[in-house]
Amino acid sequence: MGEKLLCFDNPKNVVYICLAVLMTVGGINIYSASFVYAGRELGSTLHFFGRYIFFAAFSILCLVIVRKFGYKVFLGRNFLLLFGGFVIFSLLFVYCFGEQINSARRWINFGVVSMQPSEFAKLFVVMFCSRFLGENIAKGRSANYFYTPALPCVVMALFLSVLVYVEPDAGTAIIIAFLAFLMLFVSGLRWVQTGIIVGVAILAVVGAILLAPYRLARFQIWLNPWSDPTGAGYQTVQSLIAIGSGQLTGMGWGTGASKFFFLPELHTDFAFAIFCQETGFLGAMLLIFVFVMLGYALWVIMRRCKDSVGVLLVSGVIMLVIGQGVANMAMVCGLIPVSGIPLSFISYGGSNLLVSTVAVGLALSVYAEEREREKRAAWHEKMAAESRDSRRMQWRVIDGGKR
Amino acid sequence: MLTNGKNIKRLDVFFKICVLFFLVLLGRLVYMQLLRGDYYSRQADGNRLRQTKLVAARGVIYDAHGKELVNNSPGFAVALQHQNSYPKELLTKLGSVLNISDEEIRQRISEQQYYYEPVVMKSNISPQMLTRFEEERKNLPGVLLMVHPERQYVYDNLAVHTIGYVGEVSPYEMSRQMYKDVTVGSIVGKSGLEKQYDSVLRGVDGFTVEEVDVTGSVVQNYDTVQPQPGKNLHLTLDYDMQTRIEEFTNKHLAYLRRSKKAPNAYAAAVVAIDPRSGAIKAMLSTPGYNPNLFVQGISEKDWQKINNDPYSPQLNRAIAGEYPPGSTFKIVTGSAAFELGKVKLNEKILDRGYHPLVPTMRNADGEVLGWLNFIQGLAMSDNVYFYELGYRAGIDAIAKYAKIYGFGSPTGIDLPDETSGLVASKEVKKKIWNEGWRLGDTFNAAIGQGFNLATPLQLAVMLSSVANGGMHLQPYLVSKITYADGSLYQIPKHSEPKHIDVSQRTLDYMRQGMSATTKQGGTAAYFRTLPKAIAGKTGTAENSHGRDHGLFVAYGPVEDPELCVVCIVEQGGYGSVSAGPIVYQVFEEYFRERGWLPKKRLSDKSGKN
Repeated sequence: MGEKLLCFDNPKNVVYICLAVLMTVGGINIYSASFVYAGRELGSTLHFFGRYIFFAAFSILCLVIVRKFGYKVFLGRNFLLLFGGFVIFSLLFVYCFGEQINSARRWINFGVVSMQPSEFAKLFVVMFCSRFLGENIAKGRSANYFYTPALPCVVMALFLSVLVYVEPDAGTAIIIAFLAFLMLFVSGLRWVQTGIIVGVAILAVVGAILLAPYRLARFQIWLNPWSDPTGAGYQTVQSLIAIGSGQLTGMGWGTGASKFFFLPELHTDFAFAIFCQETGFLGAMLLIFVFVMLGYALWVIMRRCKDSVGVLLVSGVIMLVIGQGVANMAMVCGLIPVSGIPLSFISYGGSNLLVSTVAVGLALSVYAEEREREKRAAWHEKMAAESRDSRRMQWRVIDGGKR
Repeated sequence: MLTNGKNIKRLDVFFKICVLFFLVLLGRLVYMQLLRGDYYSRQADGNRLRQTKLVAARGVIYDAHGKELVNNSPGFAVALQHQNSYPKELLTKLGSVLNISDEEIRQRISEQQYYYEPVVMKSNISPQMLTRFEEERKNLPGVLLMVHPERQYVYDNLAVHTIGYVGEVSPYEMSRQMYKDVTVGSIVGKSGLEKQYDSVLRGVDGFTVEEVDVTGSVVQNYDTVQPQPGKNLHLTLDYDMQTRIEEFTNKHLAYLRRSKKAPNAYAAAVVAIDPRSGAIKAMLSTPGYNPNLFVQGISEKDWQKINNDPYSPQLNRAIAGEYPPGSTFKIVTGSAAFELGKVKLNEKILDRGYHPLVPTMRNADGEVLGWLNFIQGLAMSDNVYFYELGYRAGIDAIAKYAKIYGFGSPTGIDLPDETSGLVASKEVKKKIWNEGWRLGDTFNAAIGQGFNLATPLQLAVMLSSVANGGMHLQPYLVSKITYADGSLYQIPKHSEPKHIDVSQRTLDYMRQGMSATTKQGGTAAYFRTLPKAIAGKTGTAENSHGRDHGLFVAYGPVEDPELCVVCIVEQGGYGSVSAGPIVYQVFEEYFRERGWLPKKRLSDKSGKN
């Protein structure tokens, strides 16, 4: 009794298909974007492509495991404690001993692969908030007040943000704080309190600019990157040129000119730019359509879920995967300032790929349990219909949805 | 319930914001890719940034007195702009203008596919080719003419083996990573000092980033990083002495051939070294070639000429020519015998014309010199006397002292491809021929024939040790390296001079013997006409392929040695006839420079400037 979603029987299939399309497109695009750099600097044109395949396979394995055990296990006290401890420990570790790339310590190097703990911090914040906010909403307490259960969420989000901020990785720190804020917002934070948070955030931004004027320069560059096309605005200008030069149909796969030294961070944060250059407007539309479909399927899952924790979890997953995706595309198009936001599945990055896939897996497990619950409810309804006289059965059906 | 009432409104707000974001993004893409696509396309393609390499000038090479031996002049290179695809007609046309095959062009392009830089098709093009290129330029869109410094060897053949030459780095050299930081078309040192000091001489290339329009003309200059010129080498080589030596040698070789004394005397090597420091003052290997031929890419005809010459002009005979040291090796045999106490200075040994133990081994030309002491034996270069000394010392001691004097291992001079020669020993014979050692082999080794092989430079180092009182020196060519502005960059380090394990008394006997060589009754008595006494030793190296090689080694003045000269003339016959006169003239010229001889022939000293 799945819900019809376009021509598909249920959102689950849509999610799987979108995932498959995104990983395929991502892999191919990473190869095209990185073979010049990898061939020149690392000796093998397949360096990043091979790793992407490996990470994708590992991520899919994790997705299967998450689906099998169900989200309740992973939002349980034991796993959350374990995961939270891992995230905090690895963030501290990376701050002290991390591998330095471009003057920031963001990676833990395991030799063959390296890990970016801040990606896991994003997922943890989503899981933590859904569990605390969702459980309390289920108990009838709304999140309309600032104390419990919202307070632990605020504290946890701020703590992780600070840990990430000192790496330093201001972009990711802002995303973590923003994720927590959105979770609070959808779980019904009072407007007054929402206003207070927004006000504090604006004050913080103003304060940060006053403290370090170079940040203002970054904003100015964002507003007009052409003012310094070879210096601070270089990335944005080259990114805009790459996207715009794709025109309707693109230059053709593998032939984008910008991969030759013009555009830095090509296979990571700016992968979308090279994709637009090589596949043009049509390709970009297709990619955006797939993201929208994935988002819509997750939305359907969320709307159908009756469990508050599940609803919040899926909404968090939408923010994490789709929200970050939109933000990345907007950044690459010059709509928001350049900050290290990856495009899930398309940007190269093992940690991000794993986190995104696992997040989708959690959403899928929410759907699976909802289906299970619906089946049970349907069975109870059938039982009740068969013995309509029995008041006992009727009573159980009424209570069926609640716990 | 979250999905009820107020909270669901929040989710809807969130949903609407998401949709709004996607719509904005969509609009942005429509604007950028569809409405302004042409503009960005021109930015990316026609109106694109172009990065061009600015080739750094190689360092200048100076002689000991600051004369420029090698410098740079402006040259031209033709390069192809990096494109996504190359029209076939363009490549064919370019190939015909530059006289290179389509295949080579394609190979060059594919080698550089990972670099967004113009692909150099031909560097250092000749003036004729430049004219042809300028005529065809309109039909060659995307082809650039780049000006860059071109290597110039001011005195053509002068000291070519020492200085070496430059050329484009080959694919083989790139694949073996023989040079650091090179791209296709980079000019690198291929031999001699150019190769040895390539990383110092080459400098760091710069680049310029320009915005160019469709026709290839520059719209705007974005960024320029100026090239850093390479560092300069200051050599110990003395231009005057080097030119004189080349002059004397070529004249004398011509004389030897003309007078039928040595009809095949085409090749020779001369090394002049300062025995006080190990500085090489002159180093000649002849025949040579003109390194300027290589700068613009050597023509097939010239290459065949050099390559097929039976006297291999590319071989640096001074450091890589291995010859039997002949009688010059008697210094080693003598040292071994004296150090072991097997002979006394005034002990007389009878020369019957042969040695009684191996009667078949005789003196050259069957001479019989009678009773001789050491000084006489060395001065007259008596073989039988040294057979006896070799017999008394034994082959192991001879090999030991040969190694002490530096034979059998490279001298460590700052030149590539130096060879180590060979010291005769039981092990060597076992290894080469798998035969046991015989007394005749000891006799042969004692007079420097048989298995012994040495380079002229090794002989020079041995001679310096005798001349300077037993100091073993590392010979060197570069005295200092300076920046392009002339300030000091580095003084190359040499290994510390160390005392060889030979007593002063023994060395003194050797010096006495060598001094007697150039006096009345010695094998090179004509040296006595020089104003200062010279100590020398003749040598004749057996050559199974033709006439024997003639050798002469000498140092002077005897009281306070300032110069050691080693000369070998291939197939020159007796050393006193072939090599000796060259060394004589070197000393004559040196003494003239020092003011011990009146300067004459001023009119002849014009030379090149």
